[in-house]
Amino acid sequence: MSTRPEITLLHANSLWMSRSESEALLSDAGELAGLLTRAASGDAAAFEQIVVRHERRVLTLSWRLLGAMEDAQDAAQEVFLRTFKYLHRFDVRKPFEPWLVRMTVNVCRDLGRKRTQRGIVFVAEGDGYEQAEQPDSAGNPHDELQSEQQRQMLYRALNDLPEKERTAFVLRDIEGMTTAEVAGALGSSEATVRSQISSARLKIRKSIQRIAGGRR
Amino acid sequence: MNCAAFEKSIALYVGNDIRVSERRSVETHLEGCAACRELANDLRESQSVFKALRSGAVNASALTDLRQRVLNEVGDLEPAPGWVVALHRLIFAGLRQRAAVAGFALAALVSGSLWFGQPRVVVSPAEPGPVAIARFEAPSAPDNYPLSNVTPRITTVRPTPKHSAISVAVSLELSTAELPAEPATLHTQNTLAPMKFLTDDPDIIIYWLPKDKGD
Repeated sequence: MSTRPEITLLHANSLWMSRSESEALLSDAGELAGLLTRAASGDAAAFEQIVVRHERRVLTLSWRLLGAMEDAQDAAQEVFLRTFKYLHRFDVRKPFEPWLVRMTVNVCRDLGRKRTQRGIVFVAEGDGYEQAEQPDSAGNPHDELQSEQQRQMLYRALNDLPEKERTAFVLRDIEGMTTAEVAGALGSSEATVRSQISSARLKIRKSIQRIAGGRR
Repeated sequence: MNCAAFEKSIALYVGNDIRVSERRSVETHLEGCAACRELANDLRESQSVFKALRSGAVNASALTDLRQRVLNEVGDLEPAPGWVVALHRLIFAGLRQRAAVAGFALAALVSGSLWFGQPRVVVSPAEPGPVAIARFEAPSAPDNYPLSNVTPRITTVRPTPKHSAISVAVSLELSTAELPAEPATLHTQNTLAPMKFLTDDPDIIIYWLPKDKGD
């Protein structure tokens, strides 16, 4: 007799939570749509708001794709300039972030190609990038060092990947996007993305083994 | 399947990217293969490092620098004219889906009208076929006449667009080299006899009237 009211209460509570979350999301989406519409009409203040909302995502993704903060800043700047230029083509009823991610990937791809032509490769510098503290390694210098070494090994392994596999891997495994989202951002099929991710994971494992073996 | 064939599937399995249909076979293989279990564990460990990287972020000064650069550049850019914005909004926000539906309907209408409007070729069973084959009916010959030496040559002529009738040119070649010397008269009579050729078309009958050059 006493369990039923608790279950009802829990259910009502979760219902209230989901409703408030969805309302917040809708409100946020509505606000963003308003900003996009105003920015497309040349409202600089609205555009600044859009930049503030998305600069972290765009710069982080650019850094992960290109490996150098200076290049990442150039790429992110180009992304926002293109956004401003082509915003009037964007359908504000659709989600904005996938459009922005797709543009970031394209800009980084172009910049990466130019860089390859100049003979520069993925460098993964640490400047301008800070690693958030991990709960399990907080206060333990040995763990932090190991974590930093793992990070360095991973970025060196990323350097060896072909450009398409690296992009798919970064979007899926580091950015945490779903396979469908990655396919949408890259303009390819989910099957292709799965193949690229699988190949990249295996190659990274081999590279890390090789790098770790060389250190010993 | 051997372990090499499972490698790619295991790499997908650890990231939960594998298809449901493949999942079971990978799990069964992992249960019985220590080497592949080790591979899966290594890949899982890498996955945890990748996930840890997600929490990393660019520092505030890099972001401030970027924002400043963007806003400086944007200040120099001219926004798209109002009519361009309005037109694009109309096309991309309102008309595109309707245009796609209308385009599909129009394409269906045009292809349908082309299909039903094209001229049909009705083949009537009464009409003759494009090629007529002539049959040779030799007149009755005496028993001792070597008819095997008679070789009809039949040439069909394609009908012209103006005249649909089929012309059949027939020539009859008699091989005289093997003809017996006797009966010579009989040979003359036979070759001078009129011949009738029937074709597949009952309306076409060909009569061959040999002309005696000696007379």
